[in-house]
Amino acid sequence: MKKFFTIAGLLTATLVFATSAALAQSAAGNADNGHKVFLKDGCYSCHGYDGHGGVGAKLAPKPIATAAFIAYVRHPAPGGMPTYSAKVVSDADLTDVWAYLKSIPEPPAAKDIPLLSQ
Amino acid sequence: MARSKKTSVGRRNFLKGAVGGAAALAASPAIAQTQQQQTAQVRSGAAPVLAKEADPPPTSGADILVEERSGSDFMVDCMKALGFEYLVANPGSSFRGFHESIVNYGGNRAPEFITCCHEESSIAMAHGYSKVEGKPLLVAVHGTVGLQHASMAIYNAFCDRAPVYIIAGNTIDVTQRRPGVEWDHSVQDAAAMVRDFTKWDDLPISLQHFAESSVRAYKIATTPPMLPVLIVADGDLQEKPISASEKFHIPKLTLAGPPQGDSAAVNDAARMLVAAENPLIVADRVARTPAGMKLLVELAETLQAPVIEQSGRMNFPSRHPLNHTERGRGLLANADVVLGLEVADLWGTVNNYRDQLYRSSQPILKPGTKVISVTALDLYTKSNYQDFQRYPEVDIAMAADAEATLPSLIEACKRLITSDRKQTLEDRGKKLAVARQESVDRVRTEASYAWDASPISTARMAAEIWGQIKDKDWVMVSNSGGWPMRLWNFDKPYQHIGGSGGAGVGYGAPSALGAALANKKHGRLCVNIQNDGDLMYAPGVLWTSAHHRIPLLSVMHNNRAYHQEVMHLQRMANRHQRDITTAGIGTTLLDPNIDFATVARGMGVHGEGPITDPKDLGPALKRAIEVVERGEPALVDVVTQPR
Repeated sequence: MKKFFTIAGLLTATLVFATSAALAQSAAGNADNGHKVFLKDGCYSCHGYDGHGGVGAKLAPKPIATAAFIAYVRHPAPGGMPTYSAKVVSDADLTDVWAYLKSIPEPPAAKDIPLLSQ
Repeated sequence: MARSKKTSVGRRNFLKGAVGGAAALAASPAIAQTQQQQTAQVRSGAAPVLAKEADPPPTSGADILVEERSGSDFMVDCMKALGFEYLVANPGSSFRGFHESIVNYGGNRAPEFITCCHEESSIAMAHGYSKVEGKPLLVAVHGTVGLQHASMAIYNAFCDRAPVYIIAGNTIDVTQRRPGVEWDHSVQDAAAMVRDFTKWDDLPISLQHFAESSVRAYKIATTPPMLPVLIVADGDLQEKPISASEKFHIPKLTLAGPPQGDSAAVNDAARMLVAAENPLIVADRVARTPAGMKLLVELAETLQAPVIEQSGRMNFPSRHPLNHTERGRGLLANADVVLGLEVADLWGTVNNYRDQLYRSSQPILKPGTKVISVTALDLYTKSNYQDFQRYPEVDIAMAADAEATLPSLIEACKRLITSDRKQTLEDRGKKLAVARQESVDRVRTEASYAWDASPISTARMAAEIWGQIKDKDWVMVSNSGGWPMRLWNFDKPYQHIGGSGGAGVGYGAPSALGAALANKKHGRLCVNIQNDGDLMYAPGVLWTSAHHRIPLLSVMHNNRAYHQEVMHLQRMANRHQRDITTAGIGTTLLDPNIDFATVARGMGVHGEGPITDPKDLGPALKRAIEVVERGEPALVDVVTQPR
């Protein structure tokens, strides 16, 4: 009986975990695919390969919320970034891009980088 | 200016030599005729044949095959009188006389011949040099094909208000042109091609005319606004003997004082600035001499006014508490008085312009803001090329050199500042200093993003370079206004020379080399952050740096693309809602990746890299700097993020 409950518990935990992961993925996107889209669609050219900014704004780490991110890509502030319609990049792909940006770790704190204190 | 003492002695000796030479050759006219036949046969590819019988004696002119001195010797006397250190050129037959006179008659000193592999490089070297030394360098070009090559670089110098002194070879007399190439390389009006972007040009038809025009050209080039000038050196004038009866005189060069702002306008401007609650100074090409930076600091400190540095020259110390370049946009929106000093694009500074399908603009300034402009551009504007930008609306327009106007403006401001007002200004200064420190902290945080990334972030690259040079007497000879200006401590007037002016790509490498050539005698460590696409226009400049032992550290900003155009293509594809993945076609430098370290080594320059791991960057830079400090050029190829 103890063994049954242990196995059942493991199975349940696995099921819950898999469901959660699936739900998390569908909400947060696929970071691997997002990285591919980020490069293929040329986002890196303005925002850097690591989303750290350049001509365009810094996107990572800590990107803005997914919905706001997608909305901005569709309707950026006038005169800056070009508009990316759903025809050229889908919501799903943008969600994956967001997941990629979310996966980028925080850099070291500037105060801990000696070269930045010279 | 010193004149060569050789001129009058040379003419007397010439006459003796010419008579002697003619007498020697008159005895064997057949030899002269055979030489002409051989020349024609060599051109046609046929084997030379000796004449079988004596031809009728040629005219007396054809007997003379040697001369002691020719017109080009005197032309070099003129160049020496003007004090040129160097002549920068790719050789050309249309100025062969001038070239030979430089190296033999002139002793290849003052000026010394610097060999370039492309005329665009020659002009850009002169452009970079002029911004260090405050005076022009001498360049020689073919009047047709050489000038065509040079033209973009001349345009850059024109847009950047930099003096370049150009001698263009040409043969105007049709009877004096050799058949074939010399006709392809001759033109009725050599300067016509570049007249829209040079300040003055002339075609002297006598040596005395050449003397006067060469001095006049120098004076015109160095009177603000400083711009390129061109003298055509006719081939016949170069090569014909100097007549013993001609007397030449090189006129005295007296430089014109730069124009200063009208005193009434200066006083009006001072009143506005002193009374302003939120004055703002925008500086672009202000500092024409080392005094310029000191004067601008004095004005800013007198008013406790923030400065936006647009970096057309080294105008303002980067870490000064009143340098608020980072906060520029917000300060413009809040300003009540804006002072623009030699601002190339004042309209674009105070307006926001949207690059969209239907273009539009919006003012950044709030209604009622007063704008004061001081610029020498108002004294000299040409029509065809539109580098003068959109027409800015201003309240006071001073058609004057900004640096020359600063002393009277500072004085006028000081006279108006009462002790009460001084207290208000000091309080403003304290608030500005706090705001500036906050922006400095933000910059450092921004620089930390992608710190360990590969490709290497441009912030990391700039910081690594700074770590190696900060304790040396360094100069940034490239237009790298981004991270270097944000992270390094620019506090000396020679530490930055601005940009290309006309944004013609290909300026970077040779202008950096020209600036390094100027700095060589000052013993300064010159650093060039070099764009990959720019270097690919005329990489032969690397050979020039090695051959002439010009110490220069080039650090490649190798993002493997003409990156600006990548972004433009993306914008167009998005606008058309078409394939946005094709922006790399026609814009990237991939497959193969260019190995710039190997390219450099192939031209005699020490090469490091390619560096892709940021941890390798510091040691590579250190090794390269050791080479440069020994007096040689070095290149470090760094594979970087796009921007």
